[in-house]
Amino acid sequence: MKKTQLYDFITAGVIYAISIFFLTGSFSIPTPESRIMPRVYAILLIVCATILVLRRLKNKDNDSYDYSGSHIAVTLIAMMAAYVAASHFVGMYVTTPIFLLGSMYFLGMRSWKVLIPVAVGMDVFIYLVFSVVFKVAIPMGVLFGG
Amino acid sequence: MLESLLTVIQPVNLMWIVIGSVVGAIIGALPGLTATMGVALFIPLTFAMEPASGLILLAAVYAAASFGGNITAILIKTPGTPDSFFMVMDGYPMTLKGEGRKAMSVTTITATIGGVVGALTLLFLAPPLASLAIKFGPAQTFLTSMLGITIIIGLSKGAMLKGMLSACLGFLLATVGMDSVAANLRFTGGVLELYEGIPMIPCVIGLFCCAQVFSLAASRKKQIAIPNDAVAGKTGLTLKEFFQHLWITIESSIIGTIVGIIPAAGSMVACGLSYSEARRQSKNPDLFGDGAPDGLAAVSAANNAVVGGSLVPLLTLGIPGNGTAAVFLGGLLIHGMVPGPDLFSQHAEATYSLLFGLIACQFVILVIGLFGAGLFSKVTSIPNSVLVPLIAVFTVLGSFAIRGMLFDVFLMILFGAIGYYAERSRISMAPFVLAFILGPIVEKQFRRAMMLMASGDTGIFTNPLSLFLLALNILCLLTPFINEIKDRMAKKKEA
Repeated sequence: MKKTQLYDFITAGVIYAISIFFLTGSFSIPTPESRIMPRVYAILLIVCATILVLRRLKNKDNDSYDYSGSHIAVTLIAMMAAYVAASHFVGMYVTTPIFLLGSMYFLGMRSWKVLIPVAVGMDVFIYLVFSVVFKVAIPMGVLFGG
Repeated sequence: MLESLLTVIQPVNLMWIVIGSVVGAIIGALPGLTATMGVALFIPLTFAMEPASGLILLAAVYAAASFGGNITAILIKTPGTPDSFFMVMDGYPMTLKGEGRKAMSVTTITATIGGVVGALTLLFLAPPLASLAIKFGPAQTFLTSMLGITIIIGLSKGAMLKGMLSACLGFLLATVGMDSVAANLRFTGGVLELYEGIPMIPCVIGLFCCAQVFSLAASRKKQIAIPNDAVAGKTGLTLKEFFQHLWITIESSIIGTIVGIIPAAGSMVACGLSYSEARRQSKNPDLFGDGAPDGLAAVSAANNAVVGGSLVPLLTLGIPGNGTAAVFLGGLLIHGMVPGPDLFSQHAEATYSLLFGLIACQFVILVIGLFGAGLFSKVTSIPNSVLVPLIAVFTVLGSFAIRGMLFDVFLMILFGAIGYYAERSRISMAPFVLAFILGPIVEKQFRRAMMLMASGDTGIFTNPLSLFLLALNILCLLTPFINEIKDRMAKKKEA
């Protein structure tokens, strides 16, 4: 099996899973009219995913995909998720510079003359623009009573 | 109208025009960042603002980002946005000849003219068109919303199946939350944060900004280096040269505006048409592709005229002309402004302010292009190792700002991951976003139409307007199939 075929099969598999979740979930909706559209969309999705699989099996599509560097993207996703989760506990003013330092270093920045001003400057920017101008309640962290 | 004009020239709104234009131009100039991303990133910031100011800011970002891509396209042969591809053809050869400054002057002045023509068309064409929309009932509104989606699916070049898949997924996820007709909770899994549905802004930021951040990181490119002498040449554009290019500029602006009005036709089509027309009319057609100022003028004017044109169907019928306009629709909706005739009556001040703001920002773009090209080209030298984390923080703040929930930020990251995977798998997310935004409207209007039919009004889907819209929907869906069959037959004949 070609690698590109595999990716389309993974896509189709995820689509099947989502469609089945919505189809089965639609049975618990009390009003029949409210079930119609989700079911129509879920069935259409299943049809599309099936055509995608069939076209791939018959080699009608010859798309080639490039997933190189995806490990960097996945690491960044994990770093962002950790950044947001930690913000709940210690607040965004603490986690933002840490995230910036960590991610900039991870992506290859080694100059402390850049790392420190960017990390600290962003906190000042968040305070002035988001807190003062736009009155956004930036999370202060449950550990600090925020 | 006069009130709106006065609103635009208030210092605070002029400030937003300048900020939006400068940041938009930077976003457009940075290869990898697009106008769609810029608008998506700014929507949360406008939430706390007056609707007029918010929309002016978004319009400035949209217009300036469309222009910003020209800077790097001309100076370093790297289109900042996909739409700036055509600027490379004659702009970069001019830079190589040592006429970088002149090329920047040509693109700036002609883009300004194009932008003004597009905005004026929007100002005068949108209100009468919107008054037509008042005749639309539930069935017609349903079919019109569907039309926007079928057009975008149909134009998912060579990947119509994936376009349909993307749209269906958008529709399906739009059903999460409280059903607007019968008030049933659907697919929330008991999660309180989903009772009002999946929030639109984190979804849009995730798909268009966060996904782009992941792509930039994965690309491993360090930065774009711009030679110091790129903006070279003693003179800009002389008055004589300006008048030589004026006719083709106006003509291309009109082409760009008309193409912009046609949903999903987009900037590439407008630039292509204008370029070939300019070449046809030129006394030196051989110079095209080798540094012809006429060619650069034509594509620059058309590219910026598309912005105003694309907002015509958006403001009047709720049909976005392109992906950026679809995100712009999200910006309108968070301010409670639903496209259609109400926009020009109930929300007249904000709407006309948006239109005047769009004209005003063209003049800021003029200043940026004539005097700031060198500076903007330096901004693009920011290393990706700094740019990527900074944008990542902005996506987090933007998705948090609307409801103040970290849940939304996690959703944004999830949609970012989906967007990244989709981009790599060549699945366009534009149909998804459009279906996600229009999904609730489509379902509500469809069910209202069904109720009317059940109550005996059987003609709502068979009156001439409905039949016309239905035929358009079918035509848009079938066109790619017909084209594919034609291509196959042509290939068979050749064989």
